[in-house]
Amino acid sequence: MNIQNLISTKKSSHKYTFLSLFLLVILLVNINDVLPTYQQPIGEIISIDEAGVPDTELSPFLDYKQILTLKLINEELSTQPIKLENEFSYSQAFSNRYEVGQLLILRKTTVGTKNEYDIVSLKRDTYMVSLLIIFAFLAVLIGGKQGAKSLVSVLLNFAIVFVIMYLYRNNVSIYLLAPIAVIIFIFTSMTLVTGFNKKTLAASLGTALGLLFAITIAYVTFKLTGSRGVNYQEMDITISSPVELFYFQLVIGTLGAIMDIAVSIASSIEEILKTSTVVTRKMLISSGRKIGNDIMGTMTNTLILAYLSGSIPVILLMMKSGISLGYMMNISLSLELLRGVIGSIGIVLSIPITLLISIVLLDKVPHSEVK
Amino acid sequence: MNTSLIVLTGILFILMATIGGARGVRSFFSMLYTVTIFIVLLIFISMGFNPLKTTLIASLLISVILLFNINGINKMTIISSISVLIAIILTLLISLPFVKEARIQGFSFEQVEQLSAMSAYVNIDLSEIVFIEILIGLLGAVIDVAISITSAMNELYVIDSSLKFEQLFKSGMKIGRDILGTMTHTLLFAFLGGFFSILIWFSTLNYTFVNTINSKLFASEVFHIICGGIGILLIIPIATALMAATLTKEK
Repeated sequence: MNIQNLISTKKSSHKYTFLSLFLLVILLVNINDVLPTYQQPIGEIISIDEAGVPDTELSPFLDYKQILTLKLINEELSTQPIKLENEFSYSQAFSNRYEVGQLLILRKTTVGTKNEYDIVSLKRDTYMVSLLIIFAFLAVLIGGKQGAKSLVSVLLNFAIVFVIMYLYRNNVSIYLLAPIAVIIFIFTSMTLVTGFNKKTLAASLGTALGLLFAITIAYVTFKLTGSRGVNYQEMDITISSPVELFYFQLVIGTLGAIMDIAVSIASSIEEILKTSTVVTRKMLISSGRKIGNDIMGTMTNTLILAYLSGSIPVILLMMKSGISLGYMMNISLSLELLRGVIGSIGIVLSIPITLLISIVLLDKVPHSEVK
Repeated sequence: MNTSLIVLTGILFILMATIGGARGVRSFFSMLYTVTIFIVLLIFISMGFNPLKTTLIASLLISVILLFNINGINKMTIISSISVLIAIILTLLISLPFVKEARIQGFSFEQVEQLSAMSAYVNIDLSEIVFIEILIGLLGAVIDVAISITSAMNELYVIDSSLKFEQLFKSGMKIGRDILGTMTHTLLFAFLGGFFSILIWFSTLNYTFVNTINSKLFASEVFHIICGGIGILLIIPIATALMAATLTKEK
């Protein structure tokens, strides 16, 4: 019994697996050479002087200095290595402790005849690309066709976000962008995952309606409470119209969760209708409800955990600063919790909505109510 | 008092009870348990306990409570809990070198103003905390996939108990693949919202494309999403194999 045979569907594909694994390793090792180089100067750390840093435990309350010797790797003239200073603290909350071999993106300012350099940031793209390649490999290995489709969908959705961002920055109204964005997101993701058919239509409509209801409930609630509790200033970026951004984030986040449930319900209803010839409307509804209830719990928790994870560093810092739990829950975590709750409302609402739409769209033969 | 949150949570409870019945009510409370365990976990970490070990314990606790509460204690929930633990450890190991090198811990200097009320000089090494963030972020999705697979496999076996390991495994993998698409989207879109905000903000700061994609915040979101995807992928064969083995062993 060969494990490879279990995972892949073609008989000879364990040869392909090993070949691709080999190529993968070669690609990852040479990743720096494969990526395009930038216009901005890049320095490679060839040595670090940490004279002032103790070998033993670092104090959390001090700043430590690294003197980095960098070799400029994409300047036209061969230049001498440069020395730059880097400060870091034990927590590395706002700083980094660099290692030899890492690449830094620099900014060059020419003062007279001398070039001066500052550190802009660590060159992180190689790490992201490497992990992305590993993800792609696993997606195809474990996920097969669906894995590849998921990968394409992730990249596509990323691209769509970039486009929306660009349009928004060019003053296209968010009230126009949001519905269009939602439609495009639903269309792209759904057709990739479930194909271009009635099931997808049912799931899409269920998603759209569930989303609409959830956002409406949120909006009405905020209006009635005077937005008390929605602390826009806690958004960890500064932007001129936080309210718009909050709603848009809310819409996108809720969308993903609702799509999942909608697809599950629509698929199940289609499956039941395909395999059974004696199913009644009543049975369909009860099966659909059961399926929805099965997923409800884990889906809402998935959403909550995904949102809460982002606030972990802030919460830890707050705990260390002696800020009370009550304050944290009411003020700092308010946005995350609100997103989670509203998303969950959307999830729960979309169960009956998608169920009804699926039955109406997919059930073509009229059934008698009692069998 | 966070009025909006209380009102909306109340609405959620009513909806879950109405639409979900008893199951819905239990699901609602499991959400509360999850948030509680989450806060307790962070309290422990801030008190100095090893972040990674405490998070693994907390993850197991969350899986167990979530699954046992909603689905009961049975082979499916037990196997799911074990598979989840294995999957998140593996995800951690795979992503460790890249995430560590990429230095995405803490906050970026763009956020200094917002956080000026707090001191960054604390005795927590935020580079360890990054992994906690990633694990917690994908935990829910991984639990979801695990229980979906094990439940479905159990149904199959109940219908036809003559199925052998290979057949069960193949079916489990197929089930996992079917869910893969939508689950990835759930996580993707949950993080995509934040991602969008970051892009907007950076563009107001006039960051170049290069600066944007190499920035700590951007990289952080990207890693969250990719690691989430890896976690969801890994749980599929793990849960399938363990469940198939458990089911066939009962002969």
